[in-house]
Amino acid sequence: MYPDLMLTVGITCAMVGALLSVLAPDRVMARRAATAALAAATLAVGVGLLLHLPERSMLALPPELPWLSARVIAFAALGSGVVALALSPALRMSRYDLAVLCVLVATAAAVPFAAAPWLVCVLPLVGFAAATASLAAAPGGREAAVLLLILPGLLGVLAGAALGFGTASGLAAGGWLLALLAAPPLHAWYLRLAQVLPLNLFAGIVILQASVLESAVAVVPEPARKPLSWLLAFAALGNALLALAQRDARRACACIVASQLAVAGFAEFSTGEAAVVGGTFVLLTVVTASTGFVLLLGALEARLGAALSLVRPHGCYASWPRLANAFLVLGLVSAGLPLTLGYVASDLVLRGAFAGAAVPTTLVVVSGALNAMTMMKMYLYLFQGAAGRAQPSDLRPRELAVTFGLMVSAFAFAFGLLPG
Amino acid sequence: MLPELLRATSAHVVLLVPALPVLAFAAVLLPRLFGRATSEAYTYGVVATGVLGASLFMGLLAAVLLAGLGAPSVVGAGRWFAVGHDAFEVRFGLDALGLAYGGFSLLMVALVAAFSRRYLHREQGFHRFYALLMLFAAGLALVSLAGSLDMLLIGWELVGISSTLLIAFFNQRPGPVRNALRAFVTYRACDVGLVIAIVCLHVNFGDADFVRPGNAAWLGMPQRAAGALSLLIGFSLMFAAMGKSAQVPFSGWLPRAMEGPTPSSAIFYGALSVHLGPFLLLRCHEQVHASPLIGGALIGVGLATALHGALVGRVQTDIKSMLAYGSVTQVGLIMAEIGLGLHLVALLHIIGHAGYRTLQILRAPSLLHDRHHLEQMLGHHVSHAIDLDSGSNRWLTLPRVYRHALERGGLDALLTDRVIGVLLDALRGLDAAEQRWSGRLARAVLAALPRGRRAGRNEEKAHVS
Repeated sequence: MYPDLMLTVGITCAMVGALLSVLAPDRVMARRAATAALAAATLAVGVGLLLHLPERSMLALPPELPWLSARVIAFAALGSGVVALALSPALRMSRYDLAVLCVLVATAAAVPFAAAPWLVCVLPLVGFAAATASLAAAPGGREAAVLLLILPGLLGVLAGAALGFGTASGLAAGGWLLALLAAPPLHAWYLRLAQVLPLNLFAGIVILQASVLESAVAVVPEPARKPLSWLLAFAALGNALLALAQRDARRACACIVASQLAVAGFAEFSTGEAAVVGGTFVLLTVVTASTGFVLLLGALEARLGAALSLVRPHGCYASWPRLANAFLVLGLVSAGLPLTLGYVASDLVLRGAFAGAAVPTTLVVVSGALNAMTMMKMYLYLFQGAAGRAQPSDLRPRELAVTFGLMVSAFAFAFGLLPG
Repeated sequence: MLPELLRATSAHVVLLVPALPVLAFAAVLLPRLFGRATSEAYTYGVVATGVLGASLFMGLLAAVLLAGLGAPSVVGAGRWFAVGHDAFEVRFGLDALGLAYGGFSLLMVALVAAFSRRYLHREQGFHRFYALLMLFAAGLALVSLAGSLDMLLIGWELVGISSTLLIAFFNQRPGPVRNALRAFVTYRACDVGLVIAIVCLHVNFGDADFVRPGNAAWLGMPQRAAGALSLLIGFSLMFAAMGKSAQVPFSGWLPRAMEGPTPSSAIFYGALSVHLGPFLLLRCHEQVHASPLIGGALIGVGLATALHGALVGRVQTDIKSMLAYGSVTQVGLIMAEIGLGLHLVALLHIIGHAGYRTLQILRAPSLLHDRHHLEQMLGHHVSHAIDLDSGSNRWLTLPRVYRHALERGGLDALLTDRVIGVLLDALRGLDAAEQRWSGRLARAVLAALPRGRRAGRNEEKAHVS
């Protein structure tokens, strides 16, 4: 009762943040107001979580996992929303974009508590509709909006209807989930979205995907789970391979995140207990570290004023060493750097899933290695190389504090310190 | 009484060995992350404290073992995480192999740290170098003292990451960036083997811990699997070792890795990192000898690498590449020794080669300097030409052999053009096709919408007018 009340308070705070950002007189004020509202939301959910957290560490909680994981994901979604807002470059995001980000995060926090399975499929449409409003103004955004509404949107409605009426629900839910997680060849919407949307909004979409995936186990019927886990393992490998071939940094980022989400999906639908817990940890890694490096890519683009390619080294290290170091650390956490959250996640997934599905788990291992390669390629090509004109604006105190908090949380989660 | 006390405290002492370099790494990096400029003296002091502290504790553990106060054993330092039956136990192994390799590693790190203080004085990346050196030291300490393959993997990965970042140390040039990426790709691709071996062991036997079989001199992975599983684990471990130790056909990254600063080249590719493959195989020698197929393959790969390195090294035109291929040759021989079951010989070969090669690589820049001085004094150019009439150089007069040596066996071209290039081209083709079909679909939907049709007509009118 009490945690659910706090959750309601949290989601209300997030929606108030959306409203405040639209009503604010300028972009900087809008960002401050929305960040404060989301921070209040995170605090409310965090307090609710801590008060009802069992004694044991989070890393040893299989019996309470559904209860806990939903709340942890809601907490992490709201927390990452605060990070996404705080790292928003005021010059490149309108007040409406900030409001859309608040709506996406609020939807993400609400999805794990949907009362019925069909609602899990339909609720993300709220976030997608809000994102569509941002897309309409961007060049090339209308095409991306159409793909967004057709692939995860329309398929979500169909899956919701099928679940509601109880007909072919496995096929419909599986198809929707594959589209939502951008499994090739249904990934077109995702890569276009990454290219067109401001990256902070794209991070909001990632947070929403992670949250929906955590709830998707209730949506997909039992017979469809095993084939779906196989398909998701192939999707993880496919996206990891596509990431390696990308020449555009945004598309490469999107492919890495899609691959990690597919790994999380594979784990969630596995039979092993450790794999299911590992899936939640993969989602936490995505929500903290992967969105973190997406946001830092956005910060880098805001400084350079252009989209970044991976064809030649850009030499940004000389101008922004702190940004470079933060990008590297978050990227490596996301790729499974030892002693971090990403490592715990991948270790649990592999141990838990291999016994029941050796071949797909091997594909997941390979996809993890490929993602790490792309991550390192991105770091080396974005930050190393001959420096251009020196620019003074490294991470500002606000950005540094937020990024450092993100890095600390990525390590702290790995050692079961938060929450617990 | 004393052995009991030592056993009780050894878990805490052994934990300090990798922890001190990690703390030094954080102490060097964190102030700079928050914009506080630190002096070279501060960084060097922190690093010296970390390395000497770790060496002290390592020495203490070695002394206990040598004095016969404790037998080779695995000590538990707690549990990192656990879900159901799957737990990550923090275990350290105390035996002659780990302490010899770990002690030697810390000694080399200390020497290179002392050497680099002047060599990299006022270099832009002075602090970065030392931070990465500490990460490397922590990784090596973990690999050496690991009590299970899980712990070894953590150190293995840390060594790989620090190695990659040090290859890209001179980040103003594009060459180091490409070469660092190449090294990292090789590392990660081959690490898949180690991960698969660990997962197979966990799933089938519940753990991947090292034990002391009978009265063996050092700890190792017991042979528990049979048949196809045994082959899978053995070959996976061998694959991981091949990548880390630049064995054929993955040897192309090693000479390229010499783009990093000379001290890091010396310690990584002359001394320690390149020998981690043989170290892994020494730890898991029972898996290697589980089947004659694995042992035979290891001997074959080792000898092929040694031959390849010996031939290619002779036609290199710069001293660091020549030394890199020298390392490839020696590590190939060490692999063959392990394949033949000569484990003690392999360990002595590792330590001997590491010390000698480090000295050679550290001496290389000043050797060139000395040579220039010599030429100035003599007043004429000293010939660098290969004497094709002497000894084994006669092989190079054979056109095919010479071409093989000159083209580095064609291995780089094979991997780059025929494998990775083809794969990337195919993926880019798929990516382009995806962009085409999704664009057409989106445009078709937009055109079908009433507003879309109106917008289309307006665009058409605007175009006509």
